[in-house]
Amino acid sequence: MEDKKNDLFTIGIIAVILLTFAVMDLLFQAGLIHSAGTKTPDPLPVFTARSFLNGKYFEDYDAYSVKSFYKGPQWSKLVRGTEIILGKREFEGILLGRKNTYFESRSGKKTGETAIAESLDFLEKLKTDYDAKVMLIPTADEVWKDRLPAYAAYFDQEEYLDSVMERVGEDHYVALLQTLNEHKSEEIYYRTAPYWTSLAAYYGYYAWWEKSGKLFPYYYDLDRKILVTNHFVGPFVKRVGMEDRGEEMFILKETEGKQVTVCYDDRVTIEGYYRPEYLDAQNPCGYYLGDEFGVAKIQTESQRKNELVVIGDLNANVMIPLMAPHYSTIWLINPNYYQGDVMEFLAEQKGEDTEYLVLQGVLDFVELFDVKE
Amino acid sequence: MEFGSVVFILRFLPAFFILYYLAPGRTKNVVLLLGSLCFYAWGEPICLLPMVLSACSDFIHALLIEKYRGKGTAKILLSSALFFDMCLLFFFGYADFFIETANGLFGTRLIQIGFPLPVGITVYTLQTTSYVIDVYRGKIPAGRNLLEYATYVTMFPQLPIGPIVRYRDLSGALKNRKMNLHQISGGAKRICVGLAKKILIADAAGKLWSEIQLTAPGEMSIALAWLGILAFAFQIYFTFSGYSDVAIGLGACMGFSFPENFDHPYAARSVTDFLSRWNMALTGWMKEYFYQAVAPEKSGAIRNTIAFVLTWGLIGLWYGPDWTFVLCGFWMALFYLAERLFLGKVLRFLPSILRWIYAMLVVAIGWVFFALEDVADVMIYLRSAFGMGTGAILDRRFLFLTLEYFPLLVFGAFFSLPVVSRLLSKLENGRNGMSIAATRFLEKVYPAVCLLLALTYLVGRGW
Repeated sequence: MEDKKNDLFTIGIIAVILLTFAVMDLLFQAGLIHSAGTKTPDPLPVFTARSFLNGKYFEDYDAYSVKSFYKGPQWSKLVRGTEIILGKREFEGILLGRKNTYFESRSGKKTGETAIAESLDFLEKLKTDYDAKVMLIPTADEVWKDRLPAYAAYFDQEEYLDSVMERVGEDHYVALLQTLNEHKSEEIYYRTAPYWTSLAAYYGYYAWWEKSGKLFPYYYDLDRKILVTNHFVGPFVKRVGMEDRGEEMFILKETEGKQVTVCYDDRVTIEGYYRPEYLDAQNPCGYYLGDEFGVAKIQTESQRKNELVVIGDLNANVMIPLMAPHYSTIWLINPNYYQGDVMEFLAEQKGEDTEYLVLQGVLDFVELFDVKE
Repeated sequence: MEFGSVVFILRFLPAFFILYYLAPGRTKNVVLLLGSLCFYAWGEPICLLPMVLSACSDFIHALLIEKYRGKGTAKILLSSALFFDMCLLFFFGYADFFIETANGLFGTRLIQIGFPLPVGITVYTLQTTSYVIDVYRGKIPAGRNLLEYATYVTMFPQLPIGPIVRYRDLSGALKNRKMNLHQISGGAKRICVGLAKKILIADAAGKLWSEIQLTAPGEMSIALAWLGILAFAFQIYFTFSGYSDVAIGLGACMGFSFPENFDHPYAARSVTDFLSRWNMALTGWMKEYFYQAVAPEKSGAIRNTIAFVLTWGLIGLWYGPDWTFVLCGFWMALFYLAERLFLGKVLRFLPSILRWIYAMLVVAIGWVFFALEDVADVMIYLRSAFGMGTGAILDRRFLFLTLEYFPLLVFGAFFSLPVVSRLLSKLENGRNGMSIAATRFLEKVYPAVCLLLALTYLVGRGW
């Protein structure tokens, strides 16, 4: 009798668990519950004779059935939370570091010697042909090394930057590492995105000015900064699928309200440096000058004739509004998205009053050459 | 369909069992057959073709063999049945592998067929082959009920990776089976444990192995290379034994009794011991239908050895069309033979722990063959594992991954060794009421916990 009771209990509890999950799944699939937790649920895979026969339909449907499970993101958070308690720190190529800081993982990534050599050759060529200044921005995993999870892989940016300085010479090299290290206790990087903040760009601006040969720097007052949002959640958090309280994003008062036009890829022209519509996008850092463009032509209020050509990534977007008053036109070319030949583009812009600057995150820059390899 | 998918666990399984338990008497076979066809067609409907052809061919051949029993025609019919089965297996499963080998060896440019290896083809081919051989040997009468036979061939629980079940062991249950609560509850527990093994441990171990593979074999420290082997060892064991548990559990819930397939192989103290605990149904099948056919009793030592090596080569090939699988089979066979000839006697004098270390070392090296597709990579990997790569003992990557996957390594070791069963039996044998109550409670609760964790992980990881 006792055994029978035990068996019934086992079968009952297993059936209840299984059926509860099955009912949750079915009710949602049947449209009786509308909460997968996503704004745009994945569409049902398309059924065709070919996709049926080659098995693609079933493969897609299996993936769909997991993705569309009732309250999917909440289950994911539960799983992630448990894994974090158990000591896991790397998810979807993102490292969860100390002080809730997220880093792009370099696990298994090895920047080859060829890539490093090619990148150095490229910089030297820019210096020789265009008298270009080099301002490579150390990323958070260098300056905030102490926040990285124990034994996480990292690229020795200090060593690389020393090589850069050696190759391009001190007069063409804007040293940022020491400056940023001096301010490492401040919020100089976004915790949840791979970019520096307006605060770091502010420090970067003065470091650049010292090497730029300009007579005076523009005055930016940190006390007058404008809070854009205090719920900035960068792309790392979205990739991992975690909750984050968000962080502050601000801009400098002096960069706002300027008579500036930005023309993207010769197609769209928009006024002003900032794009509020990006705050809800996958990468809210697009707030600074937009995202995913090859070339942006920025025309400022300045009456000067001189132009600046910047080879840069989203880090450059953050700093350009601070540099803009020194130039009438700034060309920003993002090699990650530019489809044409970068060298050709640079040659086209060459003129007496044109200056050149490489303004990019170290890792992003070196990885450009990794792809080539 | 995969056992570890939402479609199988939350849709197919509940729907199937509701229909199965509602179906009266012999119609259960109809439900099982249709369910199996749906299970098999989900993913690769085109792969139903070889299964149907194999089932029909062996059913007809068996009937004819019985009709001409004792005559030369029966032998021809047996050969014809086996030839047809092997052709199907070759064409649908291994043709591209042999074409690629021929192209590599002879510089030919034969075009590959590009047909995906149908899931379960190696399982049902061996099952149908054993059926027709058993009929020829007179061990069983040819089945006259196509429904029962088709149900046997297509039965979904053991299709993915076994255990391989002989018709003679199931024919009684196919005709008439009785189910009781104890059997169903035991089956349900096995399903939960099997799913947890696959989803919670095997998949995580697979992820660790993938991460280790991001480092080139020649650039690994010794510790990282061994961590990789450990991860792969856990992945392969918990996948196979987890799927076998699910298959055995499903069978029990339907009133069948499938043979055990894994018996804590990582607790083995010799290679012979390991092989007797690993995929037991496959080893048993190969011994009965291949080895004994090639080297019958009283065969000479040379013939026995050749048959033995061939058997293990084929066992390797059963896992997939890759030469490294065959080499893995040969590697195990080498030590098995050595143990039979002389090593076994030496091992007897060693302490248990040293015997275990020896066995696991041989198995670990075998797994490197199994895990990598290229023999050159295997050699590079082994060089790293034995300190001839970078020469570094430890590296950051090893320390990082060990911390990342520490719980997996602990749980993997805990559940791959017979620790749980020993603990439970110790508790059960305890004389006080407390330990008996604790055992009963654990036995009741742990399957539910396993299922809950597996389902949570399954629906959570998709995001």
